[in-house]
Amino acid sequence: MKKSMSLIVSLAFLITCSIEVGRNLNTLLGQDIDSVLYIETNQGSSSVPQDDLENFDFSIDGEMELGS
Amino acid sequence: MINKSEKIFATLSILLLCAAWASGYYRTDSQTTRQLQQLDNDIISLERVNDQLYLGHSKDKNIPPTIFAIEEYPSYGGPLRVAVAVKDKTVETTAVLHSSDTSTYLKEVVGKGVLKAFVGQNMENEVEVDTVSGATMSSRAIINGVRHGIDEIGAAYYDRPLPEKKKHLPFGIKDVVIILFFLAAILLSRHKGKHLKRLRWGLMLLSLLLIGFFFVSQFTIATEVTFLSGVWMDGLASYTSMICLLLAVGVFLLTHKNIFCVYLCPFGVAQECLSTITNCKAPDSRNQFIKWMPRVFFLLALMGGLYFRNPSAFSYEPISVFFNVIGSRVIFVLVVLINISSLILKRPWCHLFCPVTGMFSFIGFMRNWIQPAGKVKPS
Repeated sequence: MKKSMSLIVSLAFLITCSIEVGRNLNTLLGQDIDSVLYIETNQGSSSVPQDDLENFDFSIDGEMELGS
Repeated sequence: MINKSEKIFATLSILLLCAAWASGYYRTDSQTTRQLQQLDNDIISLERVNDQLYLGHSKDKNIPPTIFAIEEYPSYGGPLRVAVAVKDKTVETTAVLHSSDTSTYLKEVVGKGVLKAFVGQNMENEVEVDTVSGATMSSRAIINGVRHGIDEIGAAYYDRPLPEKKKHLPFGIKDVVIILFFLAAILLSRHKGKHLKRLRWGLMLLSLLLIGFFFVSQFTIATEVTFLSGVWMDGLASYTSMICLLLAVGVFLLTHKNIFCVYLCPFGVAQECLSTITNCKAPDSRNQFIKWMPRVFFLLALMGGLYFRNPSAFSYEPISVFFNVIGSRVIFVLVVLINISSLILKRPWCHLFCPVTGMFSFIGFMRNWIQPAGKVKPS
């Protein structure tokens, strides 16, 4: 009785924890490494569609001023 | 006698953790420009002024540039990075760029309007924002980070004096209390008097109230990942959980006794209190599946935490939900499961799934392998 109860409880813990870790992992995998976690703007909280990034000039002006 | 397959598993575990650490190290190369572009859709190029300040230029040359400031402040899981965008002396945008804090805590803080409070404000105004109860460290890191970002912009572009960065001492009374708890537990573990049982319960209940409900400083997988990844070297808002972890492991190595689980673990005490009602017995954990499954799960969680450099995402303990009522719904279900099963089995979580038990098993195994029982010097 105790043996089977231990196994059932153990399995219940495993399933619940797997769901929790799986959900978090899914969020992490869905997140771009350079995406912003939270934004609040004058227009309210928002996230930027990745299409908008395509026309952006990623080279940084003033690189030589580093540490100034 | 140490089993050969256990030796292989232990060696493999160390190798896998090293691989996860190394691949995670090369993965986290921050992309500041892409992040800042997300703060203002109108800008087409960025000019780097220094490590903290950037200027965002839009297509129309007549529009003044957006000034961005990036700040880092120590938080619960390591440095928390925020950004603030100012145009015409008005705060246009605030953002959290990176955080290793528990996502549910961060969500709670942002949901309570901590970031929003600064938006639309003239930077001359002193915005009063309160920290969020239960998530003080995350909210304090955001508030101080945004405030200092605004101050940096003010000093660089609007001739305002730059106030000194607010520093919060990461050590305090909590750490002293934790050390005292461990000293008391060591003394109690050597005590052989007739009142041992009462004294143990006294210490356990005190620990439940102070370490559990009051400090919420019990270490978790997140603490272990923070320690192993080295994030703590960049600064933490509080080192209490880490001190707790190091003391637990240190005492275990020195005395060969797991005094944390037996005398101090607040969550263990909570389960034992429930188990006392029905006077139930400990679960049967001789089954190989019950023995190995939590260890493998713990190893995978540690590897995930190290690879993603995100201590909290792979933490599945119910500590914060039980003591602080903050966490996901799944963990709420887990707490209910543990509470119910505590009435049937004594300390079910500790015996069947707790990662701390797995950690001590591993450390004990390695200790016995390196220094077999026959060669151990009497303490």
